[in-house]
Amino acid sequence: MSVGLTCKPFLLWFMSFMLAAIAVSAVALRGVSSSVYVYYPETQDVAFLPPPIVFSHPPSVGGGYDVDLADRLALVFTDFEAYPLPGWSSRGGSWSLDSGYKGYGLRGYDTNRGGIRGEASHYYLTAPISGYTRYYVAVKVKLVDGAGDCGISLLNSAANNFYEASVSASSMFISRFDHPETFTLLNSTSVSLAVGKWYILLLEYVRAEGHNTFTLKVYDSSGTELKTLRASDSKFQPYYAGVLVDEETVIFDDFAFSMGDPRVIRVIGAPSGASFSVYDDLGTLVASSAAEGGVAELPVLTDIVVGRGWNGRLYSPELSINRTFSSIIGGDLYEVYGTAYDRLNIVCGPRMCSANITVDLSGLAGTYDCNVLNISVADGYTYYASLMLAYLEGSPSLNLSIASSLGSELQPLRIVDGSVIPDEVSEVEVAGVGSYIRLRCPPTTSGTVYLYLVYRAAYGPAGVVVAYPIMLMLQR
Amino acid sequence: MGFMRFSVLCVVLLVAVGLVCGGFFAYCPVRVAVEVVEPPIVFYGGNNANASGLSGQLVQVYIGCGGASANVTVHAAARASYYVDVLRVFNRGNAGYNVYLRVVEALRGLPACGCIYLYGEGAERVFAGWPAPAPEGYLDELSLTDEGTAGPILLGPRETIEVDLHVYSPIGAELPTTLSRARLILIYTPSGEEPP
Repeated sequence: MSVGLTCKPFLLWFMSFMLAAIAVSAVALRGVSSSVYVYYPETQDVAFLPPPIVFSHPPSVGGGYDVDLADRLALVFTDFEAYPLPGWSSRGGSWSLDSGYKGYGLRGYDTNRGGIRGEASHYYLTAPISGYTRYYVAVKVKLVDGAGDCGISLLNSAANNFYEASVSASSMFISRFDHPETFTLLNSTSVSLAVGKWYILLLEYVRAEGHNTFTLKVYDSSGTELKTLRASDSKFQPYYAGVLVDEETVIFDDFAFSMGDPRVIRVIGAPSGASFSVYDDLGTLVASSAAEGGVAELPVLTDIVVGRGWNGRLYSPELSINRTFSSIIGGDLYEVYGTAYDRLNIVCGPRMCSANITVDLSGLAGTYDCNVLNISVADGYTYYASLMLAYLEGSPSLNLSIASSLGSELQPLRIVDGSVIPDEVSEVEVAGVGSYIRLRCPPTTSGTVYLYLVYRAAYGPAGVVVAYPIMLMLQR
Repeated sequence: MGFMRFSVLCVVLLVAVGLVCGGFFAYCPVRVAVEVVEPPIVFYGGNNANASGLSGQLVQVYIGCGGASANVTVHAAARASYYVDVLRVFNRGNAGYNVYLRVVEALRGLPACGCIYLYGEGAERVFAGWPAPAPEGYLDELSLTDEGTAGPILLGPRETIEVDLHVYSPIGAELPTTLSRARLILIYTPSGEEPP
């Protein structure tokens, strides 16, 4: 009994110890069961290659200026060097090629009083013009018979009513023809035109508040204005534009449908003292003028579609510019830009994978447009390149693009007064040598652009993307 | 009475010592059952696994048996080379796991930065900074030039982590002509504790 009494506290202690041990074990086991860790091996191997693309300085050759077409006001133009023309249609008449002002012209003959209920015969553009409320239509004409008239027609959407701005051997007039056979003379005046000589018709059309206003001018072949005639009407809004002939045979040439005055071409950004000349594809001088206040206006009224409509040339001896364009058309706006490489200071990084470019714009008259950095693909593969802006200092205005040796050009990275104009990011394919980064900016801008040339081996979001840093500083 | 207690304790201790010293063994049955299950977390190739790399090389991604190992080999150019979504970690199980990525052997002798960026599935890649474009918006990053651990990233059921690789060398750095290797381990656990 005494032993039992003596053992009781021990047993209590022992039981307490066991319970504690069980609890600790349970906690420990729980901890072990949830602390399972699984280990997977992974390796990352990195090897470096010689740079597939390297930067280099642009070639330090070429004049300090060049010129490019900045805007074309003529929406449609033709020198009638072919017949039939795509996008044109005839209504009545007999139409063919004949000897024109330069090259061929369009010969029109009114077949027994025309295609519209015995009136004029038409050859007109099938694209509607009703969306425009102000435009010019110019055409050169030469009367062959002298018995009837010819000129510019503005037809309604059904092409059965039309306005006519025409000349005959003795008069010029603006009229309206309404189906079936109502002829309304809106205005007319006398003018004397010689059969067999070229004349230029220029019609200015303005539509405002439902009224049509027509201004017709007639010039001789030297560009001297002979007469001006005005008329207005509100019967219908013209839907098609073209030429017409009525009881006459006529040769047409130099047709232009333009949003602006097609009598001159303008060259802007030209430094003082520069002169410009326009030559046609036959080598004939068409117009020349000196720049005043940064603008040169060259009168091309006598040959609005210069030459035969192709390979016109713009020449400036002072600026060493001698550029041939696929066409030069009255109303064109050309812009002179500086290409002086001595304005560039380029430092390429040690592996030619980075570049710091400084452009000195001080004293520049016009836009600066220059290849500022050459891009060469060194490994023989093709890559897809784009420009990625990091950030700006200052408020520069500029366009940066990649011109590929393969012929395409990247949609420019456009920055105006320090704000990036959001555009769809595009990639341009580059291969071999001859690709470059092109900078275009006004002479008054300044600031610093931090960006990357980004390229990858496959088009779109695939493969590795490589980024080369470029710093471009514009100073004035 | 005090003597009696002392005697009883002595007896108990002697018996206990005798049991130990006398080679007495008690066997309690414990059953350990090991069942091999499919790993819930697996590697697999990202969108740019084995895509076109530089100079005709591929972005090589090799996934080991059962998706339980991976080997990535890239050929980088000087300056910044970025590999988007070359490798993925996928939880095909029904429970969430904490995932870690640990560099156990760093890239050596490399005058360049090598870094892994872990993104959620389909996350937009945004970069900032110059002259090195630095990624933003990632879940975690892990330098390959130092030993360290990224994570934990809680990877829920059917969720994916996309692994990007960024290799950047400073201007003027001499780059090695031989391959550099970093060894890593992917760790996953249901526990919230840091893995050993």
